[in-house]
Amino acid sequence: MKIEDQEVLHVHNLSVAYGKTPVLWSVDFKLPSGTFVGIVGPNGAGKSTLLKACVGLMKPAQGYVGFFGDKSLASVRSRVAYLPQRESVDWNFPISVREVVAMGLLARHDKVPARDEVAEIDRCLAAVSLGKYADRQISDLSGGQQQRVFIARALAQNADLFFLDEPFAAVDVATEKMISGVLKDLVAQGKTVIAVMHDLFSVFENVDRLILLNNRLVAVGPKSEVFKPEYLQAAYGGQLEMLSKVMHLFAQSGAK
Amino acid sequence: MNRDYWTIFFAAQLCALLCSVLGVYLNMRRQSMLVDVLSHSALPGVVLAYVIFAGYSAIGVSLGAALCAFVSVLAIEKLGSSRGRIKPDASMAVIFTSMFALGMLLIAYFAERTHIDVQCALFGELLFSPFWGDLSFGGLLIPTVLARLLVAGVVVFGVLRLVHGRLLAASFWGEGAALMGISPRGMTHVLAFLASLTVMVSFELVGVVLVIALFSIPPAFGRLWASSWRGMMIGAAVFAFVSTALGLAAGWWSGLNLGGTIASSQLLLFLASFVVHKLRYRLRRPVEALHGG
Amino acid sequence: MFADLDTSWYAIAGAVLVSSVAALIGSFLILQRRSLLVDMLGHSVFPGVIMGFLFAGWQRSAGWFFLGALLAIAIGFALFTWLAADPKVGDDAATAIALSGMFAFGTVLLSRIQQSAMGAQAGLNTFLTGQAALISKTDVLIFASLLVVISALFYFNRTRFKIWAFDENFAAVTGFKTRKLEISLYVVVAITVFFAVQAVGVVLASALFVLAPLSVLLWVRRFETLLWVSVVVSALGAFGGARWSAADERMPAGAAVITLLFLFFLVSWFFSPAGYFKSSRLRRRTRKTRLTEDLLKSWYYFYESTGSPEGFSVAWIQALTRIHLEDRSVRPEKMRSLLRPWVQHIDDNGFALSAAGRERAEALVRRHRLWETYLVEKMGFSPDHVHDDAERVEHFIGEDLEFRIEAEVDRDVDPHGKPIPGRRPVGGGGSP
Repeated sequence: MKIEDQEVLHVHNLSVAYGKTPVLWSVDFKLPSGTFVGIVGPNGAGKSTLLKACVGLMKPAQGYVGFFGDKSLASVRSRVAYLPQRESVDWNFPISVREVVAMGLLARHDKVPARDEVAEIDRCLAAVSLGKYADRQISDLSGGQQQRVFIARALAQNADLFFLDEPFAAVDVATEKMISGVLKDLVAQGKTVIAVMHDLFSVFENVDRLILLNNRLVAVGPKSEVFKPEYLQAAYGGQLEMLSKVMHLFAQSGAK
Repeated sequence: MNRDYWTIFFAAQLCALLCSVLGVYLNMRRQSMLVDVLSHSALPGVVLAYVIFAGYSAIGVSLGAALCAFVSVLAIEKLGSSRGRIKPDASMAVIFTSMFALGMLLIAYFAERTHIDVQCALFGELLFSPFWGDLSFGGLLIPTVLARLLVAGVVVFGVLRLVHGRLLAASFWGEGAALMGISPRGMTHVLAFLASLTVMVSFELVGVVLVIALFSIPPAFGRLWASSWRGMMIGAAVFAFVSTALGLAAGWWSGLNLGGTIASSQLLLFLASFVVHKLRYRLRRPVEALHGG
Repeated sequence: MFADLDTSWYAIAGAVLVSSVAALIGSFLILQRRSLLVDMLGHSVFPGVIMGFLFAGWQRSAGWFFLGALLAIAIGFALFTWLAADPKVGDDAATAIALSGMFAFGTVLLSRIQQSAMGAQAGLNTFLTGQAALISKTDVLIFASLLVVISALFYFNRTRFKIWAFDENFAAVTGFKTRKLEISLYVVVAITVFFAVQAVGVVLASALFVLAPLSVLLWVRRFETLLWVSVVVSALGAFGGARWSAADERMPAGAAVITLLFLFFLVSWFFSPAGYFKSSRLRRRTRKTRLTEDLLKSWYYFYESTGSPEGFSVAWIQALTRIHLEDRSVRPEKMRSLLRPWVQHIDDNGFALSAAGRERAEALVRRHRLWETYLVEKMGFSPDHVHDDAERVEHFIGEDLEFRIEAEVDRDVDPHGKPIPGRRPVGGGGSP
């Protein structure tokens, strides 16, 4: 299914609060399809909250979110996938890798997967190189493998829009490269990937577009326009260590 | 008000104060249910004390209960961890129920020797506490109940003074505290010891279940309205004082069980303050809150 | 003896059925960290029990009694949910408050009706210890239908229940009707708590829900298996306990059942594949090796920077290796015992590694730096990224792998400019 070049996400003036503590206020932006978007900002900037508000896990105090031409989430649920932070799931649950991926298929078709869909599950597992682990308990997996299971499940959902919360957190370098490859493949197919990331180097290497968040929207746009010292400083405030790393990055890239 | 009433009043207030102060630490560490575990796990120790000392012995029962409670805490830590298959809440459930079952087994087999007053253990007999007797300290006659509470209070506050800083660090920084040589587990053990001690001098006053209220409700109030640990502590203590006084008054006036009226008044006052807390955010429109800060 | 069996047949059947239902539900509770919910609900039922007596006298099976109890459970549950939802209160405090608060109301009510001492006393004993022996034929029928209904509910919705239990967020985002599942589960919990408290008493009721599933969890690999095996285990435990209690009139049935289930739990905890003997021995050995290797590496770093191979005090090393060691609370005595196989001498003033120790330390650092170099040169990672990975991977690189990496890498300094110790000359033969 070809997705026309439309806005795939439109966040309208979104404000979210925990009790009386504001976490996001008046966040407003649009995103086109077929891009890899990174959301960055310091701790407590509301990045995870933004994702949760988009997929309906948190109720905004103000504003709303529109999908695929401003439709509501309820009407397009099957086209949206959400991967939470790894800690949000109990990895000691008695369940196998295959069963987790099958959940994605269930979400897609809204019925228990039939026998011939086993092939589909295997395909998703192969895409993240977990084919050999299909019948393993998830408690046997390493952090990187756990993240890949999430990705495989999202692939099984065959969604068009993917929200990922810290997909590269505490993951070994080989896994990071692999996940990055899978996500870029998705983008090449015209889908949209929106990921909260904490490592500016990963961001620099992977994303096309950037959203800088610090409880407010600091900047949004193509990487080349937004990944600039003045915006990064506005987002990260006085976190000099972060800035000096970025300066180093610029020095390196400037030489290319 | 004669001497007996003052005895009851001070006993209740001392008890409430001790419980609320310790309860603040437990609340901060998200261990409010530890009291439930301690009080139920103590049963086998209490029964064994009856058996060994051939009858009721205050020291024996206290020691038995404390030992049992401590062993239970160790067992819970060994059994459950957040990262294993057995989670902390599950290990608590397993240990305290199994210990209680063991206690019931012991009672069944040593029935002749154990005469536990179930009524007293469950509901307490605050009203009769002045009649437990008096102790004399160099000519001064102090009701036993107050003496016990005072001793417990001295121990609790004495130990708290020593470990307070480390306790706070362990509560807020968790693993970071380990770098400074503070073990969160060690702090849990200290708290468990102090809590057991407090439960032991309190349960005959208000009962094993209601003592949980005294440990958990005032700190919850403090947390709701305070923004610092100091505020939480003061809020909890003030709340405990006021609600206990009201509960006593209500109990005296109506002739109902004093432990019950105290705990009920604490609950009602807390719920009232919770409703106010909830309304604060409804009435103040969220957007204004966001922009007004 | 068979005459006894006849009258106590109902007790045994009733206990078995209640345990089965409880275990079925308990599987969910333990996986969702709600093991203490039953304790809270059980205590909440107290005011309902008293109200039931007020309305129904002491005919246990009167409708009022049941309604009063269910109402009390519902109120307790509502109170808990309302409080727990607020981040300023939290789950644990909400449980404690609801539990003790409801019990406080019950206490007040009880002291109000203390005049009818007999009725109150009977209610109290039931509440505490359960009265499995007084289960009637009607009760057994009720329990049996309950078991059938609940099992059907779970069986026909097992996949959705599984998804909801495993990942609530996923279920919510993908649009599963989680609301209905939750409500049906909690209605079932409420009804079962009512019967469980009557069977084994308020304190032990929690155990009836939690013990069997927890034990079985240590053995099984699938959620569905957990559900059904827990039911079987719980039923067996209840059968045994009820028989024990019927045979020995001193034994309260509840305590007997829980004791048996607890013994099975202990056995599981020690001997199951996920249990103490199997898993922790391996974990302890691996941890010891890694710790030793980290200590040796730390020695090498000091040797490199100071040039002197001897005389470091253990305390000094400890203070400075906090940066390098994963396990930061290692005490000097433990350090000494771990290093002993690799040292020439070790005492309070310091230690000196033996030749074997030095070789080992060098090999470890070599593998660490080789891996870092490989990641940067061959995989294109930035130097900032590779240290943590190498910290983990270095422990798993054996000699074979080391040779192969060496062959691929043709530098003799690592990405941070540190020399790779003892590496074979660049361009030299790579085969072992």
